[in-house]
Amino acid sequence: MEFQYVYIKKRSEFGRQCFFTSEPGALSCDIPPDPELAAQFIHVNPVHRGTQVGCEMSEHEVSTDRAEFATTGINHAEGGWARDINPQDVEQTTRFKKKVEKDDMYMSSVLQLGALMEHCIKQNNTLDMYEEYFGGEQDGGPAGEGSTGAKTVNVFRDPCPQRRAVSSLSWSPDATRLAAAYTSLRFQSSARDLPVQSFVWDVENPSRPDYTLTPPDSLVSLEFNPKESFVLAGGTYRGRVCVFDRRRGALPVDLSPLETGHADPVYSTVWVNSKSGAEIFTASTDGMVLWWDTRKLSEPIESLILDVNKTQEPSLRAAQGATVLEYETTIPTKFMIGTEQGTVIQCNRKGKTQTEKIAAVYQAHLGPVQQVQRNPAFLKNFITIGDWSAKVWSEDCKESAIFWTNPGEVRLTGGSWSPSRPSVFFTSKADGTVDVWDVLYQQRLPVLTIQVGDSPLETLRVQEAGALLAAGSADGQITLLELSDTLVNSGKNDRLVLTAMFERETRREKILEGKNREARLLKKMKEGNSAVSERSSTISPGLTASARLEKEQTEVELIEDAQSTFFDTVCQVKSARRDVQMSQMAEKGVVADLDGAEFQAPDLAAADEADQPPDAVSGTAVPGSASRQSATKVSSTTGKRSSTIAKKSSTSTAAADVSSTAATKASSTGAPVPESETETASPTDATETETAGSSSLVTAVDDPAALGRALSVAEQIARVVDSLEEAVDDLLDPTSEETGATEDQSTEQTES
Amino acid sequence: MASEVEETLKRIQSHKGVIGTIIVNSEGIPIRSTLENSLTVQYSGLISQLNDKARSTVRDLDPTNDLTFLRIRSKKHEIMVAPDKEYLLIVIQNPNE
Repeated sequence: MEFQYVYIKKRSEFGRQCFFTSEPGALSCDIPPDPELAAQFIHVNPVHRGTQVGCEMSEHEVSTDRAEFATTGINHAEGGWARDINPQDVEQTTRFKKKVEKDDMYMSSVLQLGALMEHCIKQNNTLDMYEEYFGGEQDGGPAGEGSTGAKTVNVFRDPCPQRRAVSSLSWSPDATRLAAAYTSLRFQSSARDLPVQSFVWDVENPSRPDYTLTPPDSLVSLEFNPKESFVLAGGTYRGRVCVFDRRRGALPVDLSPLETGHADPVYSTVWVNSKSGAEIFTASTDGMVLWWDTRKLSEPIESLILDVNKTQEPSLRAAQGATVLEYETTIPTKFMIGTEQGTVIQCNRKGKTQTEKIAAVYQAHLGPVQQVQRNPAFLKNFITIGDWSAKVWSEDCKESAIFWTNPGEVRLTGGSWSPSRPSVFFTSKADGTVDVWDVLYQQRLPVLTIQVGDSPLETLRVQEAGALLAAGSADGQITLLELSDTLVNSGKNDRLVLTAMFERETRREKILEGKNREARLLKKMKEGNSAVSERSSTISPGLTASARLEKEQTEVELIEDAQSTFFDTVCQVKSARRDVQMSQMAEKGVVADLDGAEFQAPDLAAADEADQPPDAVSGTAVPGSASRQSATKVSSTTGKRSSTIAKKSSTSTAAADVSSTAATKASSTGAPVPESETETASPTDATETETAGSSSLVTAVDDPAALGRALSVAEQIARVVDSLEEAVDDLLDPTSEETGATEDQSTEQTES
Repeated sequence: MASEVEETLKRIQSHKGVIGTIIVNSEGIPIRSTLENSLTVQYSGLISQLNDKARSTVRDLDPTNDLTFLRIRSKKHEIMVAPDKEYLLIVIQNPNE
C-alpha cells in the first residue's frame, strides 16, 4: 500500500513576491572624525559589569516533559535454516553440516581464516597488550586524600503525583534492583487517601519503575529476601506484615491480619537467617518485636515485649517503642533494637526469660534512634545514629560510646557503615546532605559532604559492594550515588589500625567507666563513713579530726601521713618497750623472750617496705602501660594509684602484725597475714572493718576501682595507730595491764 | 584438503588459552563447534549479527573498505571473529590463562 500526503498552500499566503535588482553603490552620509570629541574622552576605572546576551522576557517556559525510554529487543537464537530443514531434528541438521563441510569453498575459507586466527591467538599469547602495569596500587590512602567524591548516577522520582516520603530502601541481592517503600509518616497526615503503591526500580532505568507493589496500605518498611531476589517482605503503616513475590503480581502473596500484627507502623522488617529462609521479624513503636513465618502470616511465631524493667512482668504499657532493628546473619541469635526513647537494646533470641532475652541496654541518644548497625568487619562495634550525632559503641562498654561525632546543627536521619571499607560510614541529614566519615582520617569533621537535594533525606542504604549509595528524601526522590574508589577500597593497613583504634578507645572508655564507678562508690563510702566517725568520736576525738583532715587531703598525702605516724608510733612503742623491759628486767627478768619476738615486728615491716618499694610496684605497672603504647593519661595515673595502694597494703599488713603483738604479746608475730585471731585482740571497734579493708587491699592492687576502699583502709591505719598508742599507754602502766594482756591472750587461744 | 582443515582446527584448539572454536555460515548456522550446543547456538546467533553490523558499519564509512577481523575484548576472555564471504570463524580465548 502506498501512502500519499498532499500539502496545499495558497499563493496569497506566501506574501508579496520579491524582486531583486542590482544598484550601484551610493554614499548616503559622511561623518568625519571630530578631534574635539577625542579631547573630551575620559578614562573610567575598569568596571566589571555583567550583561545578559539573551533578551529578557516577562515569562519563560521550558519544556520539562520527561522523555521516557524503553529498551526492547529480541534474541535471535537459532540461525536461519533452510526451509526444508527442521532445526529441532538432529539428523537433518547434522546431514546439512556434513554437506557443508565437504564444500570446497568452505575448506578454502576455513584454511584461510585459520591462518589469520592463529596469528591472533599467538599474538595474544605472546603479549598481553592490555596489561595493567600499575594496577592494584591505587588503594591504600586515607579516604580524605586524593579524588574523594561521589557522583550522582540516577535519580528516581516517585511517579505518583502526590508527594510521599521514601521511608525505606532495600537493595536486591544482585544489586540490580532497588526497592523503595513510600509513605507519609506525618502524624494524622491530612491526605490519608494517598496512593499506597511502592516501587521496585531497575538501577539502570530511572524513567519507569521496574515493577509495582500494591499493599493494602502504604508500606513503611520493605526488604528484599537476601537469597531470593523475587521475594520481598514489608510492614505497613497500620502494622500489617506482607510478603510480595514478583512472579505473582503486584498484590501481596500473604498478609497478616490486622489483629495479630503490630498496633503501630512497622518501622523495621528484617529477614532472619533461618533454615527455611522464610522467616522475618518486625519491630514497631508499639513496643513489640514479632517473628513471622512468611509461608503462614496468620499469626506471629514468637513475640517479645521491649520492657527493660526486669523487676516485674513485661507489659506493653512500660515497653519502649522500637524504631530500628539490627540483625547480623553471622550471629543469628543476637539482635539489636533502637528505640524511640533513644536507647539501644541488645537482645538474645534464644533467651528463655525476659531477663535473658534483653541482654543489655545502652543509653544512646536523646531522641529516637534512627539507625543501629554493627560494623561489618568488627561485629563487636556498632554505630548508632540519632538526634544530632552518630556514635560508635563497643559491646563491652555499656555506659558510653567509644567515640562520637560532634553534634551538628541538623538532625540526622539515617546512616550506614561502608560494607567494604570498615572505617568509613555515611550519615544522611535533614538538610538534604549525606556526610561521609572516615574515622581513621578524621573524627571531627566528615571527609565529604554531598548535597543530594533540597528536601530532607529520610533514609540511606549502601549496596553490599560498597560503591553505590541510595538516599531517599522526604519528597519521594531517591538519589543513587556512585562513590569514588577511595571510599570503597580498603587500604592494606586499615583493618590493623582500626582494630588498634577500637581497642584503644574501648580501653579508655572502660577506664573512665571504672573511674565513674569508683567515684560513685567513694560518695557512698563517704556517706557511710560520716556515720562511723560520729560513732567513733565518742571513743577518740582524734579520729574525727583525722576524718576531717581526710576530706581536705588527697589520698596519697593521707597514706604518707598515716605511714609516718605509724612508724613514729612504732618507734615510740619500741622505746617504751625498752623502758618497760628495763624496768621489768630489773623486776622479773622473764619477759625478755617476748620482747625479742616483738622486736622483729618493726624489722619485718621495714623488710616488707624494702621488698616492695614504690618504684618496684610502679615499675611493674609502668611497663605495662608503656606496652600499651596508646594508653591514656588516665591509665597511667591509675597505675600510680595502684602502686601506692600496693605500698599501703604491705605497710598495713605489717601494721596489723604490730598491733596484734602490741596488744597480745603473742609469740607468733612473724605471720605476715593478719588473721582473725589477732583482730579479736585489737582493742578498738575498727577491727571489724579492718578485716574487710585488709583483705580487699590484696585485690585493690589489681583493681583501681577499689580506691575508695583504700581510703577507708588509710583511716583504719590511723585507727590502728591509735590503738597502738593505747597499747603504749597500757605498757607504761605495766602492773595493771600485764594481767589484762594475759587475759587477752587466753581468750585468743580459746578462739583459735 | 579435508584433512588439512581438520588439522588447522585442531591446531587452533590446541593453542594456549583457547576455550572454543566455532564455524558459522552466513545464515548464522553453526557448522562446527567444540563448545556445547546451547552455548554454540547463542554464540553463533549473536556473533554473526554483530559481525554483519560491524561489516556494514565499516562499509558505510568507506564503501571501498571491508571488515577483515573482529576482536572483542571482555573481562573474562577475548572473542576473535575472522569473517569471510560465506563463513565465520569464531575463537574464544582466555589470554590471561
